[in-house]
This record gives sequence, C-alpha cells and structure tokens, in this order.
Amino acid sequence: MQRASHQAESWLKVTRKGLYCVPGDFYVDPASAVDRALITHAHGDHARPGNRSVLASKETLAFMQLRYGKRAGQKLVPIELGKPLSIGGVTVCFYPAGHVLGSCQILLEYEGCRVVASGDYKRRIDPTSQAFEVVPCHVFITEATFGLPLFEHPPVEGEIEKLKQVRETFPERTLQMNAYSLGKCQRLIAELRRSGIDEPIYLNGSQFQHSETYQELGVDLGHIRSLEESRGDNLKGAIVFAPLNVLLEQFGETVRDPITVTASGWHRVRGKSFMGASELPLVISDHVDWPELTKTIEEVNPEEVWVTHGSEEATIHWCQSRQRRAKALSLVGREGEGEEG
Amino acid sequence: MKGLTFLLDGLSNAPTDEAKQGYLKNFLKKTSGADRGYGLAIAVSELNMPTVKAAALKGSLLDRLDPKLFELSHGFAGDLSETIALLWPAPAIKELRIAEVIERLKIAKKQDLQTVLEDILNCQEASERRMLLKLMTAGKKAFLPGSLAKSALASWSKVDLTEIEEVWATLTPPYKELFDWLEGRVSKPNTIGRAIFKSPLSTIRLDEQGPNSLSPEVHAVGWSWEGLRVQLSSFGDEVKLFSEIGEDITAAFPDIVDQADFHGIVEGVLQVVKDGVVLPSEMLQQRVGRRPTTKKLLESHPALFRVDDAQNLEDRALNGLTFRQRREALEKWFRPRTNWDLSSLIDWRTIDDLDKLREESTTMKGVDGLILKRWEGKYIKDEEWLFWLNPPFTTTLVLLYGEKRPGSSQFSELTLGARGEEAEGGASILPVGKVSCRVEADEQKAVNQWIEANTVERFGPVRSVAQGLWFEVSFSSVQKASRRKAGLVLDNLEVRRVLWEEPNEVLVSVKELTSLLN
Repeated sequence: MQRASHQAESWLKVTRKGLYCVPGDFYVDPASAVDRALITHAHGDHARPGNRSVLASKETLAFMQLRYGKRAGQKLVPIELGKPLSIGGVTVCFYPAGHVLGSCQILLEYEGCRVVASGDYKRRIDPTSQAFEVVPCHVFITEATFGLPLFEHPPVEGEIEKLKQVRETFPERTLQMNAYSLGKCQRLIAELRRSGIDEPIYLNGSQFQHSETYQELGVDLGHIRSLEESRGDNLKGAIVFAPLNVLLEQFGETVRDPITVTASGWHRVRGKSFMGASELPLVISDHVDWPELTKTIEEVNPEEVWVTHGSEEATIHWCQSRQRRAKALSLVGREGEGEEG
Repeated sequence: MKGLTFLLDGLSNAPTDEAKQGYLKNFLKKTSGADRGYGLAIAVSELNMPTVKAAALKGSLLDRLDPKLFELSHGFAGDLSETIALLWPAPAIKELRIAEVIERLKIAKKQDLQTVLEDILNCQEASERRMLLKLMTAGKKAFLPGSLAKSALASWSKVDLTEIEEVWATLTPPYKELFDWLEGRVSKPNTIGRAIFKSPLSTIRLDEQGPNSLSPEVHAVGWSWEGLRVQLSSFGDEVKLFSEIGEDITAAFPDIVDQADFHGIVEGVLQVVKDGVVLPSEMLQQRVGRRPTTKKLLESHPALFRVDDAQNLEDRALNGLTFRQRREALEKWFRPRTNWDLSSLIDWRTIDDLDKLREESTTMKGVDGLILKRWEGKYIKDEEWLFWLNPPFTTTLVLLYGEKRPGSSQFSELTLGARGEEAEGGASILPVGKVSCRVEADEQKAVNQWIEANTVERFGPVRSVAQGLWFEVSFSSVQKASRRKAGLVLDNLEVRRVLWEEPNEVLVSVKELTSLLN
C-alpha cells in the first residue's frame, strides 16, 4: 500500500505561483495573483494583493483590507477556525498558528491523506495571538526560519526586563522602537503592558493603524497614541514606535540621542544582527526557535515533513536522523532571510 | 554575571561617549565589592583573563551534539567561540557572581582550566556564555577607553578627575583601595614609590593668523613635534610611559622606558626616527598599537623621545616652579641617552621672527609648527601651552560615500575622493579620506537629501553616490597608507564648505596629493 504522504505529492504541487491543490483548484499563500487563494496570515510574503477570491480568518482579511484596500481581493471569505469546509472534494480546515493575530495553519484532507500547511507559527505565549494548535497529519509543511540548534529564544520577560533597565539608566532618553507594523509591534506593546508599563505609547502611521485594528478585533493594547497627532507632546523618555528619521525630524528638539531598540530572533547570533545597528537588540521573535520546531514536529508526528523557508538542511537532517521522512519545498517568494524574525 | 553582560552589551552598542559613561555609572551604582572592580577592569581591558582555545571546547560539545548540526550552525554564525557558546547545553542555570567566576578561573591550574570553565558554562545563560568565551578566546579588547571610564568614575563619585588619574596606574583589579577611597571609607591610596600619571597642562591652538601680543620676555618658543605627547613616570622600581590621556603604553616602548635611570616625571613627544629622519606618523601608530612590542618593530621603527618639560626630577616636585626654573633644572639634569633628545628652545625677538620660524617649520619633517610656553607659567591647573600650527592645506574633493553613525539619521560620515590615474573613459575617483561633516543643521539636511536622491548602492548604513557633490576641505598633512587604493590618506581632514555646483578647476589628483607626502 502507498504511504499517505507519498500520495500527497500527486494532488499538492509546488508551482511558480506557490503551493497548488489540484482537486480543489486553489493556492495556499500564492506568490502572485490567482483565482482562489487560501491565506495563512497577512504578512506581505504570504498575503499578496489582486487575488479574485480570498479565504482567510476574519483578522487576516481585516489586515489585508487595511493594507491593500480594494486590491485585497474581489471576494473575501472569512473562515471560522476549526470548522471544516469542502472545496472540490478537499476538506479544508483552519487552525490557529500563534504567529500574529489571525494567523492560521491550514489542514487539507483528500482521500484520507491529511496535509497541514502551517504558514509561520510560534509556540510561545503571546497575549496578542491565539495559541498554536497541534493538528495530527500525514504531511506537515513547516517553516524553518530559525531551523538551527543555536537559535533558542530566551524568555520574553528577561528581554523586556533589559529594556526596563536601559530606561532606568537613561530616564531622559526616548525609546525609539523598530518593529514590523503587523504582529511584532503589538506583541511588544502587550508585553510592555504585561510588565507594568501603563503610560501612553506613541505609534507612527502604519503601526498605529494596525494597532487600532488589533484593538477593534478585541486585543487590548492600553493607551496608544498616534505620533502624528501628538506634535505638541514632550517625548523625553517616552516609548515611540517610529522610524528614527521620522522621530528626529518631527521631535528633534525634545528627543536627544534616542535609544534605538530592535526585536528579532536573529539577534541571538551577534554576527548576524542584520536588522541594522541598534543600541538595544532584543531577542524576541514571532517564529519558533529550534527546540520548539523540533518539539512541534514530534507532537504533530507526521509521516513526512516538508520544509519551506529558512535553514532547511539542518531541519531535514534532524528529521531523517530520527527516521522521519523530510524534504525541502522551495516556494517562490519566500527564500532568503526576511526582514522580520 | 547578568549585570556585566548588560554593561558590556551597552558599551558595545551605545551611540555616544555620554551613553557609554551612563552604562558604566549604572553598573557602578548597582554592583559592589570585587564584582564591581572586576567589571570595571574588564570594561577597560585591564584584567588579564586566562585564555582557552575555542577548538578545545568543541570536542567536549560534540560528545553531546550531532556533528552535522554543529557544522551547519558554525557555518551560519561564522565565529567558533560564539557557535560553541550558543550551542552549549546549560543544565543548571543560576546567577553567578562576577568575582566568583573570575577568581575560579584565575586560580585554576592550567590542566584544570577547561573543566572549571565548563562547570561555569553549565550554569550560564547564552549571552553570558558568549561574553565569557569571547573574553577568554579573543584577546583583550577595551569596551570603553580608560579616559572615559575615569571621568565616569569622577562624575559618579564626585572626586576630582585629576586625583583619580594620578592613582589609577598604581592600582590593580579589583581596585579595592580605589573604591574604598572613592566611597569615603579610607583616604587616597598611597602613591609613594609608584609610577603615577599626573595630568598634563591643557593646550590651546592659536588660529592661523597666529599670536599678536607676544613678547620674548613672556614666551619661550620651541618646535611643535608631530607625534605622540607622552609622560614618562619613574619612581621606586617602577617605570611607566603614559599617553596624554593617561593610557599606559609602557609595553610598546621598551627602547625609551629602559633608559629611565632616574626618579621623576618627564614629558615630551615620541616620534619614529631612523637615521635622523622623522618617519610618517602611521609608523608611530604601529608602534603604539603593538603591546608588547616586537624585536623586529624596534629595529624597523626606532622611537625617539623628545623631552621638553618635567613635573618631577629626582623626587623633587617641580609643579610650583616657573617654566624658566623647570627648564633650567631640566637642562642641568638631562644627559643624552640612546633614543632620547632634549627638545631645544629657539631664540626670537619679534613677531616677524616667529612668523619666519613658523614658515620655516613647514619645510621641516616631523614639525607641525611652534609651541609657546610662558616663562613664568607654573605647572599647575589653568596654565596653558599655546600651539601655533602650520596652516592646513586646502583643496576640493568629491563625495563618494555617505554613512550614518549608529543611532543617527544624518549622513554625517563622508568619504571623499580625488582623481586617480587617467584611463580610457576618464579618470577613476579614489577615496583619500573620511571626514565628519560638521556644517549647519540646514546644510546637513540638504546634504542628507542630496545623498538620498543620488544613492547608487546601499551597503547597510553606507550609501555610494553619483559624482556630483563637492567639498572644500582642509587637512594638515598627507600620510602614506599602503592598504588604500590611493596609497595615501589625508590627516586631520575637515570640511570648510559644501560646494553645490561643480567647481571650475579640475578635481585634484592623487598624484598631486602624493607630492605633498614630502
């Protein structure tokens, strides 16, 4: 009898436009516009504009609309998590991935073979995102952004503690926070709130818009203020999410020598802090680290692992040395080490 | 160790000297005892850590880790000690005190060192492991210049900086006597019989027009030697050579230090001089940078100490004496030693004489102008020496690269170029110097915008730009720089003016600049 995972290759194909499900005639996170797209989450390398019909969580659709407006898709279909639906004989079901608000894994089941496309995911507790759910399957498609054993994200509390220590050392200096507008920014705010910081936090354009959408979707971020509407405020010692040049151009008089802060899993390795020079590099990531990646594979326990972007080689080697089949899946548009991490 | 990691990370990443001092002061406030002293010593690179080879630890790690995963990790991180530090499984993480770690490593016998280190690594978090392995494998590195550390100590303790500078070189980590004194528990550490550093007088640079109200009755004049101003301190059995800011450079200049058969503090300028010819300052830098020095370097780059003043001779303090009295004492005391010379004074009568002397100095190798000291000036705070330096050269250069300093949004660091060899399709432009652009805020803004608009390529914080923005600059001299394409670099480069339009004259060539080497 054929292995179920082997069978998957016959109906799930890697094409130039991305992962394509033949019997269902749809793509998962297509790299360019298609007729029908299932989207795991709203980051730009997974959710692109111009698709005709888009199936995604309601949060992902909200972020796509915020970002792309009308180009988000002609037909936006919000999908309820955990509720299966059938597309051309393929059973599709979305489960939370824990990466950012609204991020999902997508289970595809066809002729008894279960494949989970997990998109990007993490296992850490994140107050702004629903927790990852283990979904048993035959084929688990996983990212491997931090797929090397030297990546182990420290507890987020310790990193926030460092930030608080720097603030205490320099109470007058503004904290200039650099964080991706969708996900990282809101997670940092939520962690700052959790650590007891309840003062207003200032946000630049896109970061403010995304955070407002988070609040509308029920995630409490406390008192946030739009930087644009705070021209008269004294930002000495304040926490501001905005590019450095914007901050200095608009508030140069009150903001002297700001403390630049970045947050990324890449900061774990010194030689590889390619988020640019910052005074306070925090090791905080929205992706799984190596212990979580390997733990997840064991818990999901698939017959076969397909590894997408990141350090595929180490992940595949780890699987194979534990008698689990694994292969690299080169998806267009997701190679290389992305800006976020 | 958490506090130390926080300190060293802060010192490594802080954008300004002020911020670096802030991190140190915070550390001084939050730690105490030997932890504080050792932390300070590590920050200024004054602690001799035992060393290990990262490769030796690799074997021990591979007992517990798949070799292929190790190789892939190493390939990604690039650095062996960092790879080992990050991969090291630490089963029993707990907070270790800085002093405990240092002392355990220090008393370990050579054959036990690795085991002791592994025990420590087993208790540490990744960032602590990385820091410790770096300190033990990478050679010494100062996270903060000693001079900044001393002024941070002064501002933290409210004790006068000159007093701290004076005792600093007599202390060893973990500086118990220093902190006991700074915190008022004991009096100032005794420095009798110790080679101490005493702050030199401050100096003032006269503008190009030079002095207008000087007279030979008031001012003594000597050549201003281009080189490194130093202080040689010799007391008891101890001899030390300090730079102007109190950095101990004894190990770099045994050829000077070994001649110190006296007690006292004498000052002067170091140069590299071979067969009577002063060699480029680049060669002096090589001497300063190599500690301890090598026999080969001593032969190829012989140093000369041009003595010009003294604060103490044969255990007699001269600070209260006038320059006239000190000079007399110095001349009486001085006897020629190998590599030592007494810098002479020059007779002069009128301002015109001075003008001619300064003019003459432009043709002398290793001289950059004149130094003027008040005959009646004592060697005490507030007395100043005057420098009347040769007017700088001026020329126009073209912008090649703009760079943002960490934490800044301005392209303030500019690399400027001159015309290289003529070739088919025109001449190439070669970089000849880097300059911090210090112009008015509005003009800097315009420079920023120009760089943004004319960027050709981006390399992190650096942008290469299309040729089209010129700078009128001044520089004091041309230095040979064999590693650079142009073969030279301009010293003390300063921007005088931004030229928004192409200048009429042809861009200066590397060849023309090379001719200024002599």
